[in-house]
Amino acid sequence: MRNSVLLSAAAHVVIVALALVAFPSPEELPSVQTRALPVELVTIDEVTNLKRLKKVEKPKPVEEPEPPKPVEKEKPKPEPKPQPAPTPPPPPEEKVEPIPDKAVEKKEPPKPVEKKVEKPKPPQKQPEPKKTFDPNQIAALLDKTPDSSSKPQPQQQSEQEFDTPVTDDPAAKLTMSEIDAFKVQMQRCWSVPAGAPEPIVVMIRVYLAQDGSLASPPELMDKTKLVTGGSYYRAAADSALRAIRLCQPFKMPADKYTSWREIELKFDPREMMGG
Amino acid sequence: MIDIRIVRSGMAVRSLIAKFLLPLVMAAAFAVPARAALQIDITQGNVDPLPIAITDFLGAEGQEGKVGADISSVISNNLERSGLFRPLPKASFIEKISDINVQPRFGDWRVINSQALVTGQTRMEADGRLRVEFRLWDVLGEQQLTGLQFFTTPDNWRRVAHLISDAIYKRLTGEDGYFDTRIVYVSETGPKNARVKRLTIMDQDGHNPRMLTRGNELVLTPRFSPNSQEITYLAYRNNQPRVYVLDIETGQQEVVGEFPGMTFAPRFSPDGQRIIMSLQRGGNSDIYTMDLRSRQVVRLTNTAAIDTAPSYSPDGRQVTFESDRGGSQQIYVMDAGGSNQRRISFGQGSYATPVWSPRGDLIAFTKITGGRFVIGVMRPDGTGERILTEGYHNEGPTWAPNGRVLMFFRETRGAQGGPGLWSVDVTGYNERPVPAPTFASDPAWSPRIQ
Repeated sequence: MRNSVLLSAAAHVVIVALALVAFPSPEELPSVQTRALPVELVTIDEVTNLKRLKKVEKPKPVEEPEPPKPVEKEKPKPEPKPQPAPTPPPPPEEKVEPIPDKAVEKKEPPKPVEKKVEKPKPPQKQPEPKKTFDPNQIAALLDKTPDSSSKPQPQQQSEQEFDTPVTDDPAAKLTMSEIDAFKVQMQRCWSVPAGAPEPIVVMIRVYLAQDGSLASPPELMDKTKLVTGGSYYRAAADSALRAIRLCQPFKMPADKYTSWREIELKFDPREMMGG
Repeated sequence: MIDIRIVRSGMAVRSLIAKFLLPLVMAAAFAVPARAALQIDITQGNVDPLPIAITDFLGAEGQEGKVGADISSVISNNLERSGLFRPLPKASFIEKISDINVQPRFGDWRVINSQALVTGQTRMEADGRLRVEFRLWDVLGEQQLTGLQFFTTPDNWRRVAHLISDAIYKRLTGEDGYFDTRIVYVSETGPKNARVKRLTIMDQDGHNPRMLTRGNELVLTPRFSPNSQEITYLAYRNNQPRVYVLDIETGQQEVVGEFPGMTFAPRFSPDGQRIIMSLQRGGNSDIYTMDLRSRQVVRLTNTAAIDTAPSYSPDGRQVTFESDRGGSQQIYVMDAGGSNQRRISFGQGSYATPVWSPRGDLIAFTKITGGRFVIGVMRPDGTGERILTEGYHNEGPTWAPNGRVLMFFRETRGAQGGPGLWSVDVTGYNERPVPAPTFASDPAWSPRIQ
C-alpha cells in the first residue's frame, strides 16, 4: 500500500517537473516567408466567352487550321449586317370596329384581333438580303493577306463566316453574365400562363434599338401555330409578347449593340411546370 | 480577341494552338447557324396574377348604370378569386372611359401597371331586353383581344357577367372558364346533433342559393349529370340508403332501380346514359352500372372486398374506384367493362373517393394519413402524386369543368364548428373559402351551363 502511494507521488512529481521544464520553453513556430501572389483582375467576359466558344465547338473538330483566318476576322465587322434595320412596321391602324350587331343571344368573334397579329411582317424578309449581299467580294477587297497559303475557299464557308461576324468577335459578344442579367430581367416580366395541360414553347424575334427599347414590335416566329395551336398557344404567345413589351427597354451593354440588336427568345415554361 | 493574340505571338504553344484552339474557334464559327441573331432561352417566369383594369360598364343614369357597375364588380370578383388575375382598384384609373367604341389611351393604363383592360356598356333595348357589350384590350400590345355582346332579360345580368368572365379568362389563359357554373351541395342547419340536411344549388360564386329538397330525409353525395339538368344523389328513406335522380328544373325525383341491398356513391357516366354506383350486400360491396333507359344492370367488380366510389374517365373508357382488396383502402383503375383492374396508389395512408378530372389528366382523391385528411391529385397511372391541401378534415373533391380547380369541404372542430366549402387550384397555391349561406358539405360542381 505504502509503496503504491509512494510510487504515485513519485510519478506526479516527475510529471510536474517535466511540465515545468517543457511548457516554459516551447519551440518557436517558424514564421514562413510567404511570397506575395500577383493577382490580375480580369473581366469575366474573357472567361465566359471562352467557355461558351468551346462548348459550341466540340461537335465539329474537322476543320484544319488555317493561319490567315484571324486577320479576316477582325475586319468584316462593319458591313455584313444588312439586316434591314428593323423597319418599324406600319403603325397599328387600329380602328375600333363597333361590335357587330346581332339579334342573336350569343357572341360575335371580334374582328380586329387576327388582322393585327399578322402585321409585323417586315423582318420576315431578312434572310434574303443576307444571301444577295456577296460577302466574298468585300472579303476579297479587304483581305490583304496573300492568298497563296489558303486553299481556294469554297464559297459557302466564307459566306457563313461573314454571316456570323458577331459570334466571331468575342469582344462584341455578350458574356454569360450579361445574358443572365437579361434573363433575370425577362423572368420578372413574364407571367407564365397557367392554363395549358402541356407546357407550350413560344419563339419570338425582337429587334432592339441602341437604348435597349424595341425597335419594332416583337415578332412571333411560328405564326402558323396561332391557327393550329388553339387558344392555349395564343394565350402563351400573348403572355410572352406582353412580357417583352413590359420589360423593355432592356439593360444591355451599349458597346456590344451589334450582338444584341436582334434576339431570338425562346419562352419555355417546361422547367417551371415540370414538377 | 485573346485567342487571336496568342496565335500571333505565341512561341512554344503555337503548334498546340494551331492543332486545337484554332480548329475549335473555326468550328464554332461554322457550327453556328447562318443567322446572326442572338438566341436566349427564357425558362423561368413568375406566377404573379395578371394586373387587369375592369372599368364600370357604361350606362345611362338609373338601372342601366347600376347594372353596369354590378356586372363589372361580379367580373372583378370572379377573376380575382381564380388567383390568376389582380383587378386594380378603380380609384387608380386615370382615363375615364366614355365611349367603348373608341380606342382607350393605353398610356394611361400602362402608367397604373395594368396589362389588360376591360371596358363595356349596358343598354336597355326597346323590347325590354338588356344588351351588354364588352371589350378586352391588351394594354401593352395596344390592341383589342376580344369583344362580345349579349342580349338577355334584365334580371339575368349576373349570368351575363359570368359569361363575360369566362370569355376574358379563356382569352388570357387559353383555358375554358368555369364561372358560368353552379354548385350543388348539402346545406346543413340546426344544432350539431340534429342537423337538417338539404340539397341546395347556387352559382359558383355563392349567389342565388336555392333549396332542392325539404330536409325531411338525410341526403348525401349529389353529383351532376353532364347535361347539368339532373343530379343524382343518395338519400336515406326508411333508414335505407338509395340512389335517386332529381331534375333540377322540374323538381321531379325518382329512385334508381330497386335493389335488395343498399346503393351508394352514384355518379353519371360522361354521356349521361348510365349511372355507376356501388351496391352493398352483407359486408361486401361491388361496383355496378345501370342504364337509365333500359334499366339494365351490369356488375363490374366481383371481389370479397369493399369496392366503391367509382368515377368515369372523361372519355368513358375507364373507371377509377377505391377498394380495400389489398388490405388497405387504395385507388384502382379498370376498363369501363370491368377488366384490367389495377392498383395505382402506393403511398402512405389510405386513399378514398377518387375523381377523374374532366380534362382527363389527373385523378383527385382524399387521403387519410397520420390522422390528417389530405386532398391531392395524381396521374391516372399513379405517378406524380401531389398534395394540394391538408388539415383536420377535408373531403369530397369535385372538379371545375376546366379541370384546373377543385372544390371540397372542410370541417372545423368544436361545438360551433361545421363544414364549409373551399376551392383550391391544381397548383395548390390558390386556396379559398367558397361563400355559402349555411354550413355546407358534399359539393358537386356542374358542367358549364349550356
